[in-house]
Amino acid sequence: MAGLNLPAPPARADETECLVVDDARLIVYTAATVPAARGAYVSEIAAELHAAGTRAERQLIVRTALRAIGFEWLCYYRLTRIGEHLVRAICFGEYAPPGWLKAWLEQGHYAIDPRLAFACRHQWPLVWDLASLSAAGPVPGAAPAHLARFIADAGRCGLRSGITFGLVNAHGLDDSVISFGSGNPARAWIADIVVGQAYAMGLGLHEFLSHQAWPQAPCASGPGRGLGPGLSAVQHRVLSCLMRGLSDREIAWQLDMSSHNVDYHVRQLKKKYSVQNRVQLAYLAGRLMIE
Amino acid sequence: MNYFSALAPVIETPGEAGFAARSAALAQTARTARAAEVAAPPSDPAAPEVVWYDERDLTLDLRNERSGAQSYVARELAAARTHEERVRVLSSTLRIIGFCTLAYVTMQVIDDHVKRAFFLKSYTPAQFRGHYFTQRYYEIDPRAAIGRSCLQPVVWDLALLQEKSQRGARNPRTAHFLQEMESDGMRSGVMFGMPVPHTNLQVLISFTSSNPRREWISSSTLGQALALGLSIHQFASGYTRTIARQSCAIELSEMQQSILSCLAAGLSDKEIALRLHTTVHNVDYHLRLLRKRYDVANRTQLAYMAGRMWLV
Repeated sequence: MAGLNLPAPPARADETECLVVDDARLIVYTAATVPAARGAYVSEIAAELHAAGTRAERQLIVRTALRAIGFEWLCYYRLTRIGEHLVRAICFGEYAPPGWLKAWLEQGHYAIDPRLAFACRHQWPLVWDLASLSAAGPVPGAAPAHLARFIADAGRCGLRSGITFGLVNAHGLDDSVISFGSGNPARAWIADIVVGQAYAMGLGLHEFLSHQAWPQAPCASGPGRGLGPGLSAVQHRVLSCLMRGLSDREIAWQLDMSSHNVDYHVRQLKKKYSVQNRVQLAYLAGRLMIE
Repeated sequence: MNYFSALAPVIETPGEAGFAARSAALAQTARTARAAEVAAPPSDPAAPEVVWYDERDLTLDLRNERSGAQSYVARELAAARTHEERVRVLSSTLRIIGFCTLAYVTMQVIDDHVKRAFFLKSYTPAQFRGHYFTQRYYEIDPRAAIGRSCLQPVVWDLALLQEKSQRGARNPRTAHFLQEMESDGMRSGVMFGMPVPHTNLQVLISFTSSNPRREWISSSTLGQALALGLSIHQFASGYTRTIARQSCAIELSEMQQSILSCLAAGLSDKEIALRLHTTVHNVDYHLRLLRKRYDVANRTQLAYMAGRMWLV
């Protein structure tokens, strides 16, 4: 049940932590491992994936469904954002075109991907092709040259048109984004019915994937009100002092422990939520409705 | 705990009392000549207030290529010159797909309860309007139970709902609800929903047909229905934003919003100033205003407030 290990958090507060996972690193809960507990999937594809025993079977299910709608590729992203800042990006790349995720990571495309930006901003699907992405221009803060590299890489990998949309998790900090891709160069082939079918399939896949063991995100254990998920009593007391704006010394006084001890707990909390400083920690505590 | 509470983030909304007046003003801003049609306060104090609006309140901003129309239906709607024309486009699309009614509702959820429902009235028959909320049927709706919290589209017919409702504890309200559905000719359909991020709003989209068997809803019919629902969602987004703004008593300037967002991300004053192309002095000034506004002593507390109130 343990989450996967993440690489060390970035040193600066405004950097993004990035990771690519595949089926072998993610799928933990299937019918074979958890027979009854998670069987109640609403969508058909989620139930099928759950029942499938092997990676090859799951690939067959997803690829068949993709082809039936008219797509070749699919990427599923999990984004942790604070305001406009992308704190963490994880891509489930099992169905990504060869070479794309390498470029996505190494070229830093995650930071300027206009499709992801759209999906985080709007609650309806973006229907795109490379010409339309180019015409819309770079997202604020991105260099036009970087967008041009992004478009060249996407074209080279066979991502030439597609649909991208975001799925909001009402509780917690993660947004999920699903992107369907095709080698067809013009988006005109993507009729409304294709959009709807991709949306339905995307929701189904989202349902299945959100039950898997993702690399530990701050709120991986679900909504926590009052007491934060997985916090020990003393951690909770320290956090609740911290978010009321108390300094380490004041917390030590209030909780009758040494400053050294407080410092230790604050460090543990920062590590737990993968943040660099106490302001971020306080913000997360607010979002997670810790009281 | 009802279905919607599991879906929607809950935030405190100060200044509750003035809301009815503000929601009346809401439609005024969209269409100055017309007053909003706010239903009379229901006798059941737990029932949400239902606010009706229609096509005239919806506009789509097509100036921005990024958020421009993404579907054929949305483009057709955008091209329509009058709201009557939009109603015709949508009604005929609905009929072509095979459905009779369409409900598009934005619910405001506060403390796990649906407080208000904003109802697009153009496509729902008059006799069924509002009962879903005035009778609080959403609390016992078996469709809602099926799709609990994952927002999955539910394809249903009355036989399926009957079966689902009999599995749990029998509730006379459920039987009444299903009877009403039957007599209103709502015998099968598709329902799905989504939360509106960073708000306490939750959208519910429902299509119904008089066909008694759900088998007529193929995967392509489902696809068409979802696409139509999403197009309406896009079209209604301006109205939704207005509702969201009205329900959040405190409005921040763009600069304060950006500063707060940087602060929550853990940046120092100097880093914030650099990123927003302004001076440290100016950042400090705005942070002082923000601290005063939220009555907090320091930036850690401010960050907590920003998270708690979903300000960023």
